[in-house]
Amino acid sequence: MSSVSGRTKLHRQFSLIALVLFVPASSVAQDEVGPVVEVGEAARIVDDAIIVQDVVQGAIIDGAIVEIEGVNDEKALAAMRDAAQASLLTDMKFLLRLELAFAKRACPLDKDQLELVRQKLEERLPGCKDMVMDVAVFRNGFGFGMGGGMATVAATTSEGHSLKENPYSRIQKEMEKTLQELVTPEQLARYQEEVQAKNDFHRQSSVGMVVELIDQRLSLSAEQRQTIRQRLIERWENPASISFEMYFNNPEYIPAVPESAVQPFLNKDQRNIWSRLNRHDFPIQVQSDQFGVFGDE
Amino acid sequence: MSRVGQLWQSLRFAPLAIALLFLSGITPANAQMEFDIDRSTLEAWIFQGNGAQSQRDAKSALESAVRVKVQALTNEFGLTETQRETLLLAARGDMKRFFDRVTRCFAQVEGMQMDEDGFQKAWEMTLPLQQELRKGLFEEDSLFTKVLHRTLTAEQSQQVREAEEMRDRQRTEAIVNAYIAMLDTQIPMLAKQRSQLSEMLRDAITKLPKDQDEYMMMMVVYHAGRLPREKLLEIFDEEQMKALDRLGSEMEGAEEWMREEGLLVEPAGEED
Repeated sequence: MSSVSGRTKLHRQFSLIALVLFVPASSVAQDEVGPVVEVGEAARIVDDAIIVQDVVQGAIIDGAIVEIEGVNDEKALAAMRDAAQASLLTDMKFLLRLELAFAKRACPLDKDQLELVRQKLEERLPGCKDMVMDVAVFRNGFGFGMGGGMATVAATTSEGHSLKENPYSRIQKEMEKTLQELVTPEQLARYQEEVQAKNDFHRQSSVGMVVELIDQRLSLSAEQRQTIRQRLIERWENPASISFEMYFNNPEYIPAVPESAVQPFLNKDQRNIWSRLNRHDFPIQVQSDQFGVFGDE
Repeated sequence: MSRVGQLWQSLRFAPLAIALLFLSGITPANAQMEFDIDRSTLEAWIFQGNGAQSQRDAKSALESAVRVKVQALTNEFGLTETQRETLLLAARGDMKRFFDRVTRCFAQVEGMQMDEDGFQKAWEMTLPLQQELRKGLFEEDSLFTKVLHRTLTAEQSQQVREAEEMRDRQRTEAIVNAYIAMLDTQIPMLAKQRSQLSEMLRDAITKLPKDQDEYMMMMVVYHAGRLPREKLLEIFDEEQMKALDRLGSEMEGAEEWMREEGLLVEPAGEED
């Protein structure tokens, strides 16, 4: 193998596991926003569709704009919202195909059923636009995807737009509703059983990974590992919405797990280290068809 | 280091260098691109990515980490007071060795002309220190680990080995299952398929290197791409196989680089 071909393939693989350096929008509080764009400078929203070329006074942070003058707010807001919704719908179409493939495996559907389920599910997709995070208004301008600076980003689209709900969970819900109308109770039960097993696996794997991350940082005893694992399974509400690769590259961060599941079981020195770690959930990002599964359809 | 390795290193850290440059307010002092780099900037380069704001913070964090480590060993394997003291002394040795290098690095940089080349060189001088801290000062090649193995009784050594093996298995299982959960979002699997793939991968990965956390997921991806196709055919359907074949081809060529980086523990040809 030449180094050059290795480099190309390696680069593709790294893009697959999404190792990126970024400042998560959800981690920036409103009061921390400072001016980075001077009056008269052209500015644009990071990688998004809208270009703000009017006089701008304020700051841009990872898709958020503050204190804009001379910009048609309503038009700009609508353009941003449209771009996010379009991105989401593209992703949801891909997730629909994945979920159909999963449903076929879980509860074999005949050709007619498959087509009906596909049609019905496609009709439901526009309703998923409500997952796009609300535009937050702050100071004299507005931000995008900030949820008022308080809401948690549950996931992002493949283009990085913030979502308030995990799209993988949402497509499951939409599929379940669709199957309830179109398949036999036995088929539905088999689908639900597999979905439950899938969600349990994702939950357990997230908990296992967090225990591993905590252990790396705090040298847990076997008993502590077991206790914290159990408490996390009981108390951590949304463990499957986290991108774990980020924590391998950023040892100062740890997912924002419930304190009551960890802190009471640590000794004094472990608590000291624990208190220094930055709690932050790096949200999952919808991945496009990286394996080309549907590329030739 | 191979060209792929160099590329990866530069890709990893170039954005950080640029970000730090602007975040720390470093600006060219004149038209010939003279940079004003002070001690706090150098400390930020080395320590900030490791969760500390300064050298003092880093020392305090490392002291806590050592105490936690020794306490854990005491609780699990019943270390005597003498053993504890010996280990703490060894850890202080590792820390002194590291911070002496930091001091030498600062002294060298402070004597350099900070033009573009000097800036680049300064960054390159701090990089190994940053990486060493990230890997951990008390891991396999450290004085701490060497002294640990010499200090323990035969019985304690056996207990430590068993505990480490158990921890390695749990660690591998955690990372393998996190990978499968990620793969499941691209190639949806049934419960039985996930379980069988997890078992195959855990059997294939005899050991994951301990000090290369940032490559853990890549290691699992690599091993997944090398699983025997005939075994995968017994588990997955045609559509899933198409995706898994693509995964295998993606990892072709990565082996040379991973071996050079010490990411593959076993010699070539002994993994299958």
